Amino acid sequence: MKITEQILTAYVDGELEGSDKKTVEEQMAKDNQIRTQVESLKSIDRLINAAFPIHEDVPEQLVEAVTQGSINENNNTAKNNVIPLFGRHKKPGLSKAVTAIPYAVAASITLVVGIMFGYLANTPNDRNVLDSVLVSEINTHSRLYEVLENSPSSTPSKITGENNQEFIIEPLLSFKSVNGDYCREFDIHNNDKKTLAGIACREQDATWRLEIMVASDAQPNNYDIYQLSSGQDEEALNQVADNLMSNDPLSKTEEEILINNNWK
Amino acid sequence: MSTLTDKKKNELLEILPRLRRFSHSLTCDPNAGDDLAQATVERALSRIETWDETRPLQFWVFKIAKNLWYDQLRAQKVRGHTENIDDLPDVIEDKHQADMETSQLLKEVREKMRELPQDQHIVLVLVAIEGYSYKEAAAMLDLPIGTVMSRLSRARTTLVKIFGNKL
Repeated sequence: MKITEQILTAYVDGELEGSDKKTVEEQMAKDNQIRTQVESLKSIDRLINAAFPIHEDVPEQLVEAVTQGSINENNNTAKNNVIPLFGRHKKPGLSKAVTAIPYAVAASITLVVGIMFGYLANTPNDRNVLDSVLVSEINTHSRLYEVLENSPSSTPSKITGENNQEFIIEPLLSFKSVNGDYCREFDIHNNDKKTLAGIACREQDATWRLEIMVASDAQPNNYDIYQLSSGQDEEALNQVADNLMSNDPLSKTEEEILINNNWK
Repeated sequence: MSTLTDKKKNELLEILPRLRRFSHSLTCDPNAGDDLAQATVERALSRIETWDETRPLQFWVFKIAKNLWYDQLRAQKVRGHTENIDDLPDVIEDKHQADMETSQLLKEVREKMRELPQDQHIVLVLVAIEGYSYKEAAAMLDLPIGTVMSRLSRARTTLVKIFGNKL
């Protein structure tokens, strides 16, 4: 057995057994350098443990969070804003992600277009009306589809809506989902103000399906009903990403290859 | 629909100091660490019914903390928010470290830990600080044990190179 850094690390962590452990100990006995290496590794552990001590006195707020035990029931002011859209088009594999977000606001490109261009302005109480126009599949002829399909992350694309209003669509990152699909998080914003953020996943048939769309820092007159209280929009989005992501986001190179290869 | 029994509350209370230390060691920042611990408790409470009681609570809670921390890092990365290390508070309550030199050294350790690649940092925290076995760390991170070993080895080697002359 060759004594590598990795083997010594495993030895220090008590992960070696039997003959492997014995071999390391024999080498340590006759090789100063190996002995020094092991001592250094142990010293580093002592150092980092000293850098992060356990304090038995935890902040009162943290203790109260547990003893009261009802944070989410009392604190989730956005609950009433739920629009359970996913149920109609829910993909079975994604149910976990979707149902894990009690306050997630779901929408579609149809809704996005509607919000951006004012079609749905000031109809906060008529969910049936809203519901009837919502689909979660992104129109393949839309600019958003084009951006998701072709634009690398952190590359903003300008789109012009009705009344010559300009919006920026920007993919933020790409990742492989637990279902094996490729997904992208993106923002749609206007005048440097983020208005909408979402995650869409690409299906086998080359369609992009929205998994979540949240409004944030938006102009309330346009869509009060979708307004989440501060921080919760991002939290909801993160939670979906958390449940969907199988691993770290794709690197720039990985993403580039996928874009060039039509996400295959 | 609360299924938060007194027994579960007590178990949660018992692991709070460790959760807090774990959060501090992930964020390398006392304020961010406390925020992470708080967010973790809130998330855990909201999902307490999903905890498989045959599994250790601490493992489940740490996994939540880890996921939340990844979310935060991801959000910081994509939204361009990075905290300047120079803006961080000096020390994490080195109450027992009157010696200024030691205190300064520990501060450096926290800073260098923070600069480690995320994937190495988390493995180092789980194994070297929290004492999880390679198998447990691999399970928490959904990684093969070999990957845990190599990341851990790289992390320690980096720190030995930095602090070798001070050990």
